[in-house]
Amino acid sequence: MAVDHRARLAWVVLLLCLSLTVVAGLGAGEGNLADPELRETFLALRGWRLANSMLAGAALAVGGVMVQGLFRNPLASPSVLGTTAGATLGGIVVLVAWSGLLAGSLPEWLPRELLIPVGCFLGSMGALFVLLAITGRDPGMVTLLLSGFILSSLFASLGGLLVSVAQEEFELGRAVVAFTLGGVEAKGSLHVAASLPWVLVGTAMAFGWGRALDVLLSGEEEATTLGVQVALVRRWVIVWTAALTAAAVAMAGALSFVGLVVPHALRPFVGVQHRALVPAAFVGGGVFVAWADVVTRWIPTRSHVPLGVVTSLVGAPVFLFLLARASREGRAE
Amino acid sequence: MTDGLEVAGLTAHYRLGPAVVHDVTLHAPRGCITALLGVNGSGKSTVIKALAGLVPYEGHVALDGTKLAALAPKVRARRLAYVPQRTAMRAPVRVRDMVELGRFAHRGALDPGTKHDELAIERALAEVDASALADRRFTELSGGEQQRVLLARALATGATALLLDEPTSALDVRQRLVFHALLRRLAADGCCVLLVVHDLSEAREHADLGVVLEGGRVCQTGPMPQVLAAPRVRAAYGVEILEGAGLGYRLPGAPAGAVP
Repeated sequence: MAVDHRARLAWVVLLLCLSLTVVAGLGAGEGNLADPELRETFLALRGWRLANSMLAGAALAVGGVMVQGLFRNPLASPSVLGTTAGATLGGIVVLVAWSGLLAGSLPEWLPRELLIPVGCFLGSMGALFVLLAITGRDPGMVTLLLSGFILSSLFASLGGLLVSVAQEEFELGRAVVAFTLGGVEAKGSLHVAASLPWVLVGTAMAFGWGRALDVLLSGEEEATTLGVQVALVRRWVIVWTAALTAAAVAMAGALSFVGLVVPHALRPFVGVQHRALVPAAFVGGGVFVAWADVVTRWIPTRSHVPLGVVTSLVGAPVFLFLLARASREGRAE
Repeated sequence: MTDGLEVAGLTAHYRLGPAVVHDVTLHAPRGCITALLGVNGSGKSTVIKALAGLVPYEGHVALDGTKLAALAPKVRARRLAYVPQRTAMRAPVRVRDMVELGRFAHRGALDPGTKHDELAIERALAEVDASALADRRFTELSGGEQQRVLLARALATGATALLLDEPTSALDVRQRLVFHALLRRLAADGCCVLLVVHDLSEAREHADLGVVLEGGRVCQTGPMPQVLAAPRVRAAYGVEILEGAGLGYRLPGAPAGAVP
């Protein structure tokens, strides 16, 4: 089947899944929608939850497309490269600073939900710059993955240290632990409002840089001779990948492998060109994380199953499969 | 104004390293194939990469009288194209999409492809006899087919000056002949073709002019027969050149003695 036909089929399936996701996202849960008194409240809560999960998934998937283009590596994704961990650390720093250094010095109209994405953004951008400084521009797969793993561990340790400090104070400790665990069950309109501009502008930028990223698939030297200003593209791709990751972490916490699984699943159908892949990843990422959230509501446990557990249960095997395939093809050096 | 590529006093070095080529002066006119020759490490690829804008350089480099350093990246890409020895492309792009990358310098970030782009892609594919490959995946092609597609990508830029870095080094005899026949056709159409060649006999067969580098400096320039006859070139290569020795090849149907 030609790529164009497959792309059309992929879009039909994506839009069908999107419709089903909205129905499932609004319908799944313990509350009874038949109750006329509570129906509106349930729908509003689930609607915002759905919006948060879809936007977080969309942001991570588009971020995944961008870093995979930047590193020319299908195994790159915000979580694998330590960007998600950097964003989480940035968010924790904001929460701790809010209660400590910034306490009383910020106006009341500025809620911390609006500041968390800023902290996440600085954390994820810092993580990407450190990664690039360590690995160089065209790293081998092992260097890239190991560096990402070590950075993730480092940021998680620093975050753990801050969590321990934060627990000295009950309210702060609770807020930091809740943020670290992630999830969308308690997220509302404020979280969407704080992150939506980042997601939309980041996705538009990913689309705008799509042609340059296509050319960069040929490597930096060839791209330069074809007219791409490689340093400029690299800088903006890092900034907007960081922004997308930050928005996702602020809305749903540290979700792993979304940026890896979604582009990988879509490429055989929509092709490798970024201007086709970005919009498909936006919808596909939203659908994936929203369904993961629906699944957490279906699992019959007394305590709540974290959203990141479901995305990892799907994503980790895909990651291992890709790694094994790259290893067989001799591309894992 | 001198036509083609004019280089004077070019000195180039990789980041933080010492100069690899010194005071290189050469002229690659339009309508000719100019070969850049030399033993391993003589600086051939560095010169080509400097001219392609990949390695920083000092000196005068002009195309048809316009200094290349003064051109914006996209303008430069529309005038001067580069064909690498081997591409770094590993993604399973279609051949047509690979050639379309050559149109990057003609489009804004959000411009849709125009009829003009379509035509340029079709023409470039036809020029290298790769129209039949358009819907195949680039990564599944043979080395010779890939090299032809890379040439098509270079032509799709609209550039009429071509820099080629050992484009035939991984090709078999027949693919080599086909590739050189394409270059000859392009030169006959008025293109400026400057290519790095490793093999002296290949340069003798297919190039009009030669520039020989030794230790990063030009040691001989001129028409190929004159270059090959120069004692300095033999000394630079450290070999005796035996005229008329070795096998000759031509494509089936090509007239004997003719450049394929």
